[in-house]
Amino acid sequence: MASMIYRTLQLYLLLLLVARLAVASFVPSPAFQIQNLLRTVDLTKSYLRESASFIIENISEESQDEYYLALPFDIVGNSTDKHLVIMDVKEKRVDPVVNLVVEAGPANEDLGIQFYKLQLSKPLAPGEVSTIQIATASIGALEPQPKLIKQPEAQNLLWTGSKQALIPYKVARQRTKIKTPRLPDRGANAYSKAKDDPQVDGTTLTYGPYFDAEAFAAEAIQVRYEYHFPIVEVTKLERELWVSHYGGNLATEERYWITNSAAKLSETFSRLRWQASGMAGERSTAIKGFSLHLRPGARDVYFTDEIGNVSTSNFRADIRDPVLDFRPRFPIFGGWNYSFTLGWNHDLGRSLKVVSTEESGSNTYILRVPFLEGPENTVYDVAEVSIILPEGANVVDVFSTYKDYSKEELLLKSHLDTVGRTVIKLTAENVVDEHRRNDLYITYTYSSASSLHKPIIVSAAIAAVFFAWIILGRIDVSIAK
Amino acid sequence: MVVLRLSIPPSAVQALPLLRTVILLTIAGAAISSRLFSVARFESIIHEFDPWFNFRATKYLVSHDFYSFLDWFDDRTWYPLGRVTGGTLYPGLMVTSALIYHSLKALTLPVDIRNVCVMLAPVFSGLTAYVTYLFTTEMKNEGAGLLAAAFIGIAPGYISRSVAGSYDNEAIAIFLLMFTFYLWIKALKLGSSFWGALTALFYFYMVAAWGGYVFITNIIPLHALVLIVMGRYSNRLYVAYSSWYSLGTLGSMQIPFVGFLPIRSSEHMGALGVFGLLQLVGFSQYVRARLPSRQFKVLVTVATVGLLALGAFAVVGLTFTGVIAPWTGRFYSLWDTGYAKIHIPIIASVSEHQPTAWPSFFFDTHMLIWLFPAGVYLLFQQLRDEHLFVIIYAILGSYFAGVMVRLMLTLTPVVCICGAIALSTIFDQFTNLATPESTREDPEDSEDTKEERSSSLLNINALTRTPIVGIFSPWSRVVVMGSFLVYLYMFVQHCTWVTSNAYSSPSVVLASQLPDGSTHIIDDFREAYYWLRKNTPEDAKIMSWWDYGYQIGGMADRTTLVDNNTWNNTHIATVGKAMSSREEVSYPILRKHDVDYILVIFGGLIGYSGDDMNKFLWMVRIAEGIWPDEVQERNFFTPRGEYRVDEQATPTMRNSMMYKMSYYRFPELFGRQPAMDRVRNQRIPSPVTDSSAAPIQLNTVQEAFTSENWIVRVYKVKDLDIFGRDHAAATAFEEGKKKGGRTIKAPPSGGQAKGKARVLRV
Repeated sequence: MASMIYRTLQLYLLLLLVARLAVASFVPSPAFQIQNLLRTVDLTKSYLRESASFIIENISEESQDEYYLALPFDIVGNSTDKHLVIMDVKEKRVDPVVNLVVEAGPANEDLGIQFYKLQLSKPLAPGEVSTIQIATASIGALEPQPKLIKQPEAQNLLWTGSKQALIPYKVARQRTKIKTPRLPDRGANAYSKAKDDPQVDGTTLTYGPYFDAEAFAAEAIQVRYEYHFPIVEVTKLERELWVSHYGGNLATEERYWITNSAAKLSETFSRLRWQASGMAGERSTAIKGFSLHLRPGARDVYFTDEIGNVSTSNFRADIRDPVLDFRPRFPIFGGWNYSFTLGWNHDLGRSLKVVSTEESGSNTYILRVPFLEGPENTVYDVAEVSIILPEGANVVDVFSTYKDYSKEELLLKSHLDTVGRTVIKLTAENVVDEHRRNDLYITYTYSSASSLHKPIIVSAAIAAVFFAWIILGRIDVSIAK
Repeated sequence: MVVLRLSIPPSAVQALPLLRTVILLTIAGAAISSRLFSVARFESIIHEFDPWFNFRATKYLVSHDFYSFLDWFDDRTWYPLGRVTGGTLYPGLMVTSALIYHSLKALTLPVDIRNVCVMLAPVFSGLTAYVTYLFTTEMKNEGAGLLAAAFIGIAPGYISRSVAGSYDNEAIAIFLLMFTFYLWIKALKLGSSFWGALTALFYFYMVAAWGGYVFITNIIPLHALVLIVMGRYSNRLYVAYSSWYSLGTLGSMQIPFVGFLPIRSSEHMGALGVFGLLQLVGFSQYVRARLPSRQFKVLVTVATVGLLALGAFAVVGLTFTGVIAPWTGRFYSLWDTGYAKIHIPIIASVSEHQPTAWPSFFFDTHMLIWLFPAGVYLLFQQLRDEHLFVIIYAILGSYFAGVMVRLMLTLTPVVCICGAIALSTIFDQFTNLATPESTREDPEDSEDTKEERSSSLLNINALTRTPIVGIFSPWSRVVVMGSFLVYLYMFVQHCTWVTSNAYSSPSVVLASQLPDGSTHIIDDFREAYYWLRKNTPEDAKIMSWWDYGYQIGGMADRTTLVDNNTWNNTHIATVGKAMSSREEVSYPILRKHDVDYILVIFGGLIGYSGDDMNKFLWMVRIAEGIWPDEVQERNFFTPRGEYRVDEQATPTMRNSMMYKMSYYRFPELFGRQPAMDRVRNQRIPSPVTDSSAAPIQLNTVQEAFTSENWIVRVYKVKDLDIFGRDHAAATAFEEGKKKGGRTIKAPPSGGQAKGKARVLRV
């Protein structure tokens, strides 16, 4: 018996090893050649954005429908401080431009590369060309240099990367353009230099063009640049959207736990210096406040934290473009933490549509809400978005243009509920502010019978109490007559 | 009111209960809404100091079960001693809010525990108005009851401790006090053990809720004693008292903080003595019915003398042997107002323990304070058993309110009751359309017969021949009623004004007026507390003066050394010593207590007068009480006996931690302007303008955070120097100065020098 288990185990391990070896050395077949590649590294935001636009040509004998993307293994994996997010991948061969589906492929551990498989919009015949555009965002890829600064001192960030884009095919011609907000004054040693590389145009560096690079070619470069802004990192966001058919209201509450990942203070905080630099109007890496554009029609805004209301907020209730300016209780310097809660209301009519009405009184609704609404220039480690539907609603479908989340359906009892209301909880990790463009569509059915459920229950309960009162009041319990 | 009933049809009389209900609901509504000024102006926030502890304890109770709450040992206060919190608090308040919270939660209502706590006091004040109505109805009639309810609903003396957010024991205690009194009166009137048991039940609740239960423990026996002495012993009294005392005492012993006090402490001996006396009197009544009167007289005399001597001897003897605890310090300070100042500075340092100033009686009760004696007088007129209770309450309440400001609270209900009785009597007299027979003859003399009660027979003849002057003329009715209506109007105005201006500030948040008239909110406390909460290690120990202990625990959620519980005078004195000594003396104290941060309150920039420099002398005094050789109050005064912080400040003052931490870098804020401390109106020596003034140097601590208006300043205690130098030398070295014997040849360039020199020292 034991030997059989042992043997099975041995076989299993062997199989595992073989499979692993096969995967570990995976390299896509050299079916493509990249003709002209322009990579843009955008360093103007608090996180790194990269985009690349290139023409692929099928140089094989057969038509191809799969293209492989290569991304460094350590940042797409579970490394805690660095993450790469694929924003979108488009193919520009046919009109209109198509978003391509990205699928995680095998990894090559020797090269340290994780492959992603792209399903081309239609097979590419030999010799045919197509244009592909990809955009990515990286969280935690930019490091303050030095890590500690004095209170009013300028912050430098360091980007480490490669001159060439990471491509698993041969590249005929490529350039890398690096946009920085500002190069240091003594900019001479702020970035890696070669013979006549790079060309500097104001705050933009251009490396290349390079010709006929092999697959996976990489040459490390570094760029140090000035960044006088905070680096807002939301370590956790809890976003709740309460749908109320009674009140015709969509209530939003967002709880943020944030930290500033900018360079830390080398000394302790001095209010005196802070006030002086405030008067001088100096820029600082401390978070002074946020300005949040809400969707039109937002009202009843509040800004609180764990110990109560924060009075330093100002809401401009413009119908078209309501803006909430809010300031934390204290300036948040590099390495400091803060947490707060924001909330507001919307008319439900703006986001809800009746799709179909049925004889039985059960309606199908579709709710459309933004996936995120937080401040700009922000990255989120974890974002939990919960949509709380009215009691008795049945979820038919959840659709989002943003796919990378896990979904849970829960039951929550609140506001005199007896059955409980359905909660759709979506958890997404490593999200950036640009994901605000994505909308969530929730289709659910809700009948007029379930909308009467609660008033009936509540009135029955109150009637029962009064009835009991009347009956108990008539019982004579005295001992002596 | 009586007249109204006579003149209206019976169907309307049936509607009176409805009318009363509506009036009482309106009164409750007024009582609740007049307490919401601070919520409307600021937010739903817990006020002041003690409520923050109660709030924190409530949160603990809500997240744990009841028994672990009673067993709660709190290691986040009184570091490193900790506090047996579960056994040293009155759990009534927290249990009440937790019950409300859990029942709302059972109804699946999403209520924040903070809002339950904030709204508890206003809601209970509505209930207080109702029980005051019941109580006063027992004394006179429903009319007086409604007046009393309205008065207690808005009287500032009670509002001062029950505004929304004032989450303290008193919030529910006054309701319990009045309800226990009502039940006692009811039990006494009916001689019912059921009502006596109810009295005991609510007495138990009161014991669970507030230390002021001792007031009930003594006033009910006193009432019973007076009744016995006046020869009004009855079986009703026996039943009521015995059932209350036995059940109530057993109940009160269930509270861990009270424990065996009811049979061991002097404050409770009166109740026990009266209980014994009642048994004797009851027994003697029984014997008298069976013995001839001569024998009985002898027996009573012998027994009384013997028992009294025995009882007194036993109490004194037990006190000396320590079985019965002697009176506590706080109790002594009730009899001798100077006692606390000499013996317990920590009690005297609390402003609410000061004797009451005369104007505050008017401030807190307005016109009721002069109706109060009239009401007591009217009670003397009838002097039923229950009236005696109010008279005793009035006397005791007045005395205690005169001794301690905070005891205005216990006086206010009786003032409202007596005022309502007086006013209702006046209304009864002057709304009565009947003219009594006896005064018809001579209207001029009727002034003298004002107090005379006459039958209210409707006399049509009298009405037709209406006199022009005299108290029964329509004009005098109009004048008296009119003037009292004006008084009532002024009373409402005054109450609203006082509530709005004096009692509705959360004191955690300050409001100031901007030049353009708009309100600016100064939120420095929460700013700093929240910084501590978010940006210090979770186990950081924070040293501050004890006033801020509860707030730090509640808002910053960090461990404190001392707090408002003040149970350990020595520990507080240690903090006082650390604050009032030189850095070199303080630092070892800080190290020994693992202090990570020091928090001081400084109001000099914006003129916030409740700051630590103004409380500094109490720190010095309390420290001096334990270390008279090391800390001396007179060293902090100039030779001319002034308390100065400017260039004339004494060296002891200028070298104290508190002074340094308050004014560290403060003059630099003013640049070339004189650095003015706006609280003390003195000029702080500035190194910018005056070259002889040395800037304040802090060697052992460094500034970690200062709030926007500099009200809260947080300092981080430095670690021991890694090279084993003392901090002064290390700081001097950092600044490039050479100090002490060993000198290093510093290389010329500054930046590199430090690194190299460090290596050399190793």
